[in-house]
Amino acid sequence: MKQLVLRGVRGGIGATSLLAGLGIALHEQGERVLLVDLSPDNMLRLHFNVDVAHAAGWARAQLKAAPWHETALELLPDLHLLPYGELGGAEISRIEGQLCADSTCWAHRCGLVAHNYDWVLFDLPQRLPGHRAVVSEANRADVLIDLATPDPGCHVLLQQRPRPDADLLLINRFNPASQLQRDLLMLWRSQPKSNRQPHLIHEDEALPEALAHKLPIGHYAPKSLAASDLRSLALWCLAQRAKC
Amino acid sequence: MESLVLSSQQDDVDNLKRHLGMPKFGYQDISASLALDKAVQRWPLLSELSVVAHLNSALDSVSLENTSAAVASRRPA
Repeated sequence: MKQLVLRGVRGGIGATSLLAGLGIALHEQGERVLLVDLSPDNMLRLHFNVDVAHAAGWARAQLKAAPWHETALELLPDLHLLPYGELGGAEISRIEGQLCADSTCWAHRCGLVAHNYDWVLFDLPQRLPGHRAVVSEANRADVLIDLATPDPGCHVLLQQRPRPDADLLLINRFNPASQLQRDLLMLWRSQPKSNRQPHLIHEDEALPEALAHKLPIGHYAPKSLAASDLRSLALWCLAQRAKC
Repeated sequence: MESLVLSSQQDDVDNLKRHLGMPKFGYQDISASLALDKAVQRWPLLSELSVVAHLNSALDSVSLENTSAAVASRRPA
């Protein structure tokens, strides 16, 4: 079992949508996948036709000292989703405190379910260091992918070199007609310290449309450019597994 | 995913290195570096960040040299 994290350089760049799409793409390759929503926004479930009113999740169970794994939802055979749950601000702070106190919490939980899955995919919040322990130096996930969009804001943030180093830079919403995006891509490809080429997900209206239909892109528009890019990313993940 | 496709230009350079039997042959793609310079100059923010990045890497290399010099000076003669 391998843990994978998509680490958005900043918020609002489509990390949750891409993680849902990557989960489907890996599942289509015959992999057993668990998607874990570590973000209090609790948005990942909406890509899989879960009711907006569905309030259960691992964090809600943890507050009640109930079994966290019983909140998992079976989306398809061998494709499971663990929602965060609907929590208020004070409750989120309590969970954050508990995760800070036990930074190996998710590593331990992954160990418990390791025999059931080939991949555990984590959706992270932008802040909350306790919730983000799976990308800390000490507990780094097996596959860590940095996500950016080709805009100057992400360029500034990438210059600060997020730690720990990622295995791949994934670029979302690439529009080859944009001069600025082409320039940024050329610059990112020339970075002397980057040991591999960035991967691209092309700008595709089908991605927001898929969420509006409460479906992952691979099911809503399997022939779209973005779905095709995600299938290629899934193949890269399978190749990467052999190395880690 | 464009990154899965090896650019034919890089392929040509690698073939030439193999043909010459010079795997460490230094090759500088001048047109690519000119295009990169133009890309950076087109946008003031990218230019400024590029200057900062160069300064930082220069400072890093100086501090590395100082460290290695300090290590060397500690060695017994």
